[in-house]
Amino acid sequence: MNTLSLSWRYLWSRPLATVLNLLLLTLGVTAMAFVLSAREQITHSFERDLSGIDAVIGAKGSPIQLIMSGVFHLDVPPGNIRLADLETLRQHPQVARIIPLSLGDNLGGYRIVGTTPDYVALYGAELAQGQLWQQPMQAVLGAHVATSTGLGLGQRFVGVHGLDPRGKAHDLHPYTITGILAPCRCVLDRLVLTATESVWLVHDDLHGMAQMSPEERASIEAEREVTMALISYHSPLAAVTFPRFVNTQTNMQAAAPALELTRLLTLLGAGTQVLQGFGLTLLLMAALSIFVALWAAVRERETDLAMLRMLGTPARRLVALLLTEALALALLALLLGLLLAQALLAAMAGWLPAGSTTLLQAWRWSPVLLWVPFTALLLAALAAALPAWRVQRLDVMSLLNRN
Amino acid sequence: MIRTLALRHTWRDGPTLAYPDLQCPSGQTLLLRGPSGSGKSTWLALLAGLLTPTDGLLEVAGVQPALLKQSQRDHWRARQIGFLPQRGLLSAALSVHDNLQLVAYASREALDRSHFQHLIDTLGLGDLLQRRIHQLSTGQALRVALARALLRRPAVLLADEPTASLDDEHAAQAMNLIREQAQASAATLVVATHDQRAVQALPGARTLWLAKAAP
Repeated sequence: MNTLSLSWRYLWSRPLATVLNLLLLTLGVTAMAFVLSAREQITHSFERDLSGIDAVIGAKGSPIQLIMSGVFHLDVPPGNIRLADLETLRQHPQVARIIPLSLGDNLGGYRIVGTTPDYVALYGAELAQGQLWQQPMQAVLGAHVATSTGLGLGQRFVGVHGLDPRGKAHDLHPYTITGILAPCRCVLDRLVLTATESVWLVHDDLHGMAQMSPEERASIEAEREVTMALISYHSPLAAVTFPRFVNTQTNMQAAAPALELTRLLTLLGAGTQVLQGFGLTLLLMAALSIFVALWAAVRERETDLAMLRMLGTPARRLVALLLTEALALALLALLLGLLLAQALLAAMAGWLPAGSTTLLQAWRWSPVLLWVPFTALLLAALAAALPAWRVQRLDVMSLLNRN
Repeated sequence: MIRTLALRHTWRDGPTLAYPDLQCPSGQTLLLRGPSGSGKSTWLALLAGLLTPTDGLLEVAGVQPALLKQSQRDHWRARQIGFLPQRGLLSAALSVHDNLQLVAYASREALDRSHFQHLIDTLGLGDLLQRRIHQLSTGQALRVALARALLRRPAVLLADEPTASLDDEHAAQAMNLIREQAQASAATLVVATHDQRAVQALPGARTLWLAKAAP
């Protein structure tokens, strides 16, 4: 018999109290692990999707909406911008790269994005199968889209109008899948990519272009639009002047993602802090409960402990016995809590709309999670400290005589 | 074996207990008697090394426990002192077997298997090992506690009011058992009691009378 097995037997000699304490501690660990994981994953996902993008150009409106729709594909875009205006910006000396994005349709909730191969290069994504689109109505699926829809190379699908999977299908213009991207753990995983012209082609028919006169068609060709564009600067100094130029000199809007993300994470941070505080409160309650349980256990077991002293057990081993009891409970709760938090993350990822599912993923280790065992074990040790101090001061003979 | 000289112990904010000198050879039986408050329990605690005397000399089997470090004293107690408290004081959270194994846990030394089996056989505990303590009768609990006290083959067996909660029949049986087992283990038996039945059960025992401490 050693300290661990003895403390384990003592722990389960009071099954109800032990189960209740375990439950409380497990809930605290779950809440804390879930909030830390979710915040870390969302922040990391946002930062990763923003890398290489200095500005997002789109229709005037909310800059956060522009970033959310243009970079993270989580919101509806504020409107369209003229391709010609964008071409003017391409000539701007501070602009190094412009990637146009055209939204409008979806495949089972995953957005179909008309763009150029530069968009794939921006994230350093690689093809797992096939090749990029070579002409309009060819499409490349993000890794998550391919897995989720089960579609493969050479298969055809039709886009659904709008960003809602229940919209009208563009039956006359099916896409052919020419490539599937390898997982990049970025926004491309949950997008369907095609040429910008594909989006125009699909929507020309929607607006009855076939019935239009050649003049009307020429007019539409001249007025082509895209939804937005991602811009990279030649120099970081452009961050000061370029957005101001776009916002004041054109009828477009330039949003700086770094700035907007900071604002967004501040908003997000307030929410997660509340949840994190809730988790910590649960943990503190659990620690208090363990303290009460151990204190009661020492009272109940005073004669057992006195007898152990009489049998020759050093006082420090009795302290170790109590600490082990508290830490064994905390370790068990940690195991259960971390598993539950992962299950919760998996469930949340399942509940999120298709287009945002890669924001949260279960079974992803993050160093920030080290705070969970640290906090839980520290609180358990603190809860055991006072009962342990009391054990050291037991009056052995009077306790043995009292009974 | 047990030798005391001008032994005194003063409790903080309490009386000073002065004990008569004693020389008790190995294997003898000693009755520790006196009214409540005379310091019987304190004398036992001093003998077991749980307390250190304020003054005087206390020697058990050639060792002065007061001169040992705390950890040495704990180890010495585990090996040299067997203790039989009132009502056995067995842990209700553990089985009979685990209660006996506490002796090994306390001393961090494995038990002598043959001696363990000998005590189990002698005291008739074979069928009780997996039982919980609340499933034992008073007599069975006393036998388990006696086995626990003798597992280390102690030099001294301390019995504190061993008959206090027993009826006459069980008190006589208990005292016979304790005396026999102490003799079989060649342990010096010290019985602290104010129960006349315990005194009568140990006719040849030497008696150390303790007087009530002056306030």
